[in-house]
Amino acid sequence: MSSSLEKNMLILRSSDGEEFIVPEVVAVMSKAIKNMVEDECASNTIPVPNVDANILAMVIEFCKKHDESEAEAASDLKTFDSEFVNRGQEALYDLITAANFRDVKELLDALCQNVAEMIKGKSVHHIRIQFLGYQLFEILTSNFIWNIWCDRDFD
Amino acid sequence: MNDLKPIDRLTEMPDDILSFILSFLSIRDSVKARILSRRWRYICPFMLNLDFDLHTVLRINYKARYSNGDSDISWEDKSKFVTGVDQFLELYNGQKLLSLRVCFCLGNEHTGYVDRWIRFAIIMKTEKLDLEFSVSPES
Repeated sequence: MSSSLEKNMLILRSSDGEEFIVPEVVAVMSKAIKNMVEDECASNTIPVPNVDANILAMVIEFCKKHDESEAEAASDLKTFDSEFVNRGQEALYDLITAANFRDVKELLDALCQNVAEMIKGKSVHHIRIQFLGYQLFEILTSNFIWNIWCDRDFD
Repeated sequence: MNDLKPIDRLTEMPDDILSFILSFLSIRDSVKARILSRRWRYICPFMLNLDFDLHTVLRINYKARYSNGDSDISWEDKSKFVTGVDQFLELYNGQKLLSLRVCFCLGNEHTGYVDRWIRFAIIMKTEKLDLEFSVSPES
């Protein structure tokens, strides 16, 4: 591989072939990558299948921030996290998939908590609008079993 | 992949991700989310502590609703409570439960339900079982 690559740097290659040079400490925040590095089955270039360049860049941004800011105030990191996960649902689900497959725990926590926030305290009606748009009727009837829990929300 | 509707994207997530998302929610909110689709109905939140009372099940604030102190919980609310807890436990498929708390004014007419919940707690090897058959004003 590239001999000019600095020590302790790794190259991550996205599913669409784009390469990112990333410090090893950042890359190994993905447990999947950490295992590859520890088992020494990784060359300098690590393929990251199923994650395109756009999403991979976001994941790296997140990991870099979390690596750098270990000493920083926890509240700063929290602010960063909440801004980071504030994205459209499409990107959110792509990121969850990536964080899950690559096993990036902190990112997965932040993302899943964010989806939960979209549900928290809302009525069934609002959750449906948020996640479903118009596909309401089939769901109403298919889940009658839970109605006891929810009829107050139709008030 | 991108022209799938958001709900499809959310629903195609692996079960453990959906469980994980639900685990950030209260019991009531997690149930509401499970109404979203057939698939979600059987997704169980990772919840190690289950707490069923007037507020968590029926979202009734005791002080606001029964402020004069001498009113009883209506028959209708009692019936909703026991059915709701029953339904939740029936679809609960977690591996282990640390604690189960039920705090509600239940009487002899509910022994069948209570027996079932105790059996559930035993099967789940619950470490702490807390049954209070009265509605405490703090709840």
